[in-house]
Amino acid sequence: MIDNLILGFSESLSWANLLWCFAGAIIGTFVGVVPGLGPLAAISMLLPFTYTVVDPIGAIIMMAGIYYGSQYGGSTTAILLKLPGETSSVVSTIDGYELAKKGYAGAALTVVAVGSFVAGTFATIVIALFSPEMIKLALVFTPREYFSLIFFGVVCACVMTQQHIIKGLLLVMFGLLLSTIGTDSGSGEIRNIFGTWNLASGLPFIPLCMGLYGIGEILYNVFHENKENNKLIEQVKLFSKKTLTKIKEAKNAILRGTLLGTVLGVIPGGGAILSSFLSYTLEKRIAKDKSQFGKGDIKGLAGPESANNAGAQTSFIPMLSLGLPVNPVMALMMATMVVHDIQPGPSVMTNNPKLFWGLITSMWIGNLMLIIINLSTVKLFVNFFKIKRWIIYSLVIFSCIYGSYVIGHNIFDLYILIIFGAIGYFLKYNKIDCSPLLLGFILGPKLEETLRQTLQLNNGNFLGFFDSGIALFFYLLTMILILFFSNKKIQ
Amino acid sequence: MKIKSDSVFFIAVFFLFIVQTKNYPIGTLAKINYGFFPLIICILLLILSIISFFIEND
Repeated sequence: MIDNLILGFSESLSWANLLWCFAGAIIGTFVGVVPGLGPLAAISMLLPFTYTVVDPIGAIIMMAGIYYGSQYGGSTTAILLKLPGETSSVVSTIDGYELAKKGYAGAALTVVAVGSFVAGTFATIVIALFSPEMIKLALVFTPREYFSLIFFGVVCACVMTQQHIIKGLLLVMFGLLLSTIGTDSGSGEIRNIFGTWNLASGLPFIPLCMGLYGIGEILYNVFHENKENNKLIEQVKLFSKKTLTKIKEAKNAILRGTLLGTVLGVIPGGGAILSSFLSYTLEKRIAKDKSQFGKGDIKGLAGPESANNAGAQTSFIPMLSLGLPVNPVMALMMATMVVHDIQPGPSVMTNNPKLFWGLITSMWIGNLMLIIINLSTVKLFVNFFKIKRWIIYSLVIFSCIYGSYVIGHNIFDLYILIIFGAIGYFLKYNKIDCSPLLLGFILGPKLEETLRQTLQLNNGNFLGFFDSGIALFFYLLTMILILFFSNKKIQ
Repeated sequence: MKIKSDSVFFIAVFFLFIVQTKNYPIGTLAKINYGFFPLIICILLLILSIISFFIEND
């Protein structure tokens, strides 16, 4: 493994990749600070640009930097303004802003940066240790096991989205149906194209993503602007005695958050958001003095912030080793690889060791950059928050239109952007999280392919699906999940 | 009863796709054809939409 890490560092420490990593960290922090602009929108907007400008390794390193960078940046406005820049920072507003009001703004920001760095470093080590092992496991998977794994992943994604499981399943079905549009890979027949030959090669992924997460999000923000007007805490003193005291108080919470986030990041549907919410619940449950939670307890801030960073990073493990995206951001990472002619999955490590290890080591370098960026430029980034909303919205809409057009040079892609922008707005208006839709769309072709292969291998016998210990294990897990969550949602 | 726009939306999606899918061959189970998967998903979508119509909103 040492040789592999040396190979990774030699790749990620090249000037070009350091620059892309830095660019990703800066863009991620910006995206995290500005409410209404998440990593999904940013990555989908930048994906077309990387196609022409950046080499594959640089592109993946930059996209990864945006994702974990946004977890750092999201907490800044949550602490100083009680406004989460990113969904996973919602819980940080509870105790973060209270701490800032009491004069602990600098201490809170430092604890978050230190916690995020510790979590990021630990998660990077876990990725380096476990991804190769997962790849070995993936190599013994037959279509039967893959089908059960994808089936489990899809159901898991529905369960974890904090909405009723039926809504999640409906969205997955919608995503699966959308994935059937175009040429069938098995027979070469064209299906579900609604009379338009532009759809013969399938729905274009980038305009679909930009529509759902870019245009849809902007439309929602325009029509339902957040009227909350909290006072911005401007007194930020990062290094003081208070900071040291708070770091000491928070160290156990940081470790717990790191461990929890590391585990939850690997579970389909998990990742940064779920990790931060569950970490807050855990900290509150085990605290000796629960009365301080909500009034400025550093543990209620340090735990979730460490957890979301660890979760964001370990969610790369299933994508890199099994080719299974556990959340929409990972689906976009996969799309980035596909755009650059790299097939995600177990073959990445053997065919592209430079990319695999370069990405892993760049995560640690990115985390190091982020702790410096976040501690030294807090005030600068908070100023971004003061940029007029219409400027940001106009830029996002322009990027979406340009990005959708530039990949295929086809005006039809803009129609897809508009249609899915409307669908994205409609779903958001109905308080439906569209992540399962995207996962269904991404996993659909693989699910259908493995379904067919398993049936063919077993002469059409459905019992063949259960003829394996690993497959049975995943079906059992899926059943437990459905039964457990059929009448409740994760709060 | 208040019309649930999301359930109606998914039922509309079902109709859109079932009209496309209904003439595709589904083949035998050992050699399923290109209509099999969309048809199964369409049926599941319809069942879930109906269930969703009757459950309480979040």
